[in-house]
Amino acid sequence: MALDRRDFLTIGGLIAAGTALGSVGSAFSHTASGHEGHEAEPAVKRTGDRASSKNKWGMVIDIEKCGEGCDACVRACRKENNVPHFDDPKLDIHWIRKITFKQKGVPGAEERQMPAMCFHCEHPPCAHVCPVAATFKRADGIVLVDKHRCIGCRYCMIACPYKARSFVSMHVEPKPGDNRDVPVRMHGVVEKCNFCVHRIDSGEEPACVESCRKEGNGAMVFGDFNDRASKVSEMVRTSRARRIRPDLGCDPQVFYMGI
Amino acid sequence: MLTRAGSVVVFLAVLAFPFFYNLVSTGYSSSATAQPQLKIAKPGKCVEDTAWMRKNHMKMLIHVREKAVREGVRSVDHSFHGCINCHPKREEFCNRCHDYVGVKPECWNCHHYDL
Repeated sequence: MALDRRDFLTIGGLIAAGTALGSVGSAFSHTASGHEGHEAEPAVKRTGDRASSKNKWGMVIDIEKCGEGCDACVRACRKENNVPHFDDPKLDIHWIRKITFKQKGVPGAEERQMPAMCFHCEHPPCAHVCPVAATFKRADGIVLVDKHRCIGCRYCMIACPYKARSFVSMHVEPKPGDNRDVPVRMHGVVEKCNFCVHRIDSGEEPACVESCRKEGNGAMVFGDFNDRASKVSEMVRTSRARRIRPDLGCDPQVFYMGI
Repeated sequence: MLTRAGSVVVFLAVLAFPFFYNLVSTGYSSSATAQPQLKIAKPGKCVEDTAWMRKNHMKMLIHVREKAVREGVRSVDHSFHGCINCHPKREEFCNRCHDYVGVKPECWNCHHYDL
């Protein structure tokens, strides 16, 4: 069969149009999936399906931005982690708290506020002293309490220089309205901030950071210190972010700007 | 007066009375009380077969627990979130057997099952 010039051009044109349409279609589908991918893009990205030493989670808190009287982070934490109210300041459990401080030796220094929680130290003294290995440091640097194993001896509370830990001194019952992703706790264990580990494992940032960005002033930033491109790494590299009491040698993974 | 041998026989008869009483009153069936019946909301295949689960579910749950807490492996199928998916009510699942054998697991002191 011989193709004349007209047929050849027609067939060629059709093929070209088909290819172009196909690529346009795939481009559309690509953008569509890309868009979905963007929506589902996790706020924090952990490497692999388990805690890995390739990640090193940490936080940078800008005290200049932290609003006076704002307790969005504290409320969000209580809600997320089912932290109970005992209505007794001596017994109450604090995972995160706002502390008021004044610089020593500075005449006319004004009072300022900052949130403080467990700093997830590189060398956690709490884990070091725990007699039953209930407190431990996960591969990605999060210091956790295995409440199944904790015997409530409170050595860790004495060891922690940052007062990050609380003892559960009363019975707490699971109740409707609790966040079901997080268990409550038994009477007689020690607990503390866990960087919302269940959220990190599912690619979300901790509840306090999220609420600080949405309801508060965006003072808290969470990220991976092993990732040089992450915002926290950049902030620590380029600004005067500092640890609290670095002389203690615990190497906290929570940095403060503006102290 | 009973002889010494006679009194031993009477003693053994009294001692063994409940055994024979149960044997007769339950009609020689192997079990005195009814076996617990589990209610399964979503009948289907469990992650392991029933006999294995009956014997080893506690080991499996502890293994999964250690993995989740210590290593951050949070797969759902072998954890008790997987159990809840098919057995939504604790009273009709865990409690049936655990009441029967008188074993009290501590899982639900802290974890939410059904609320």
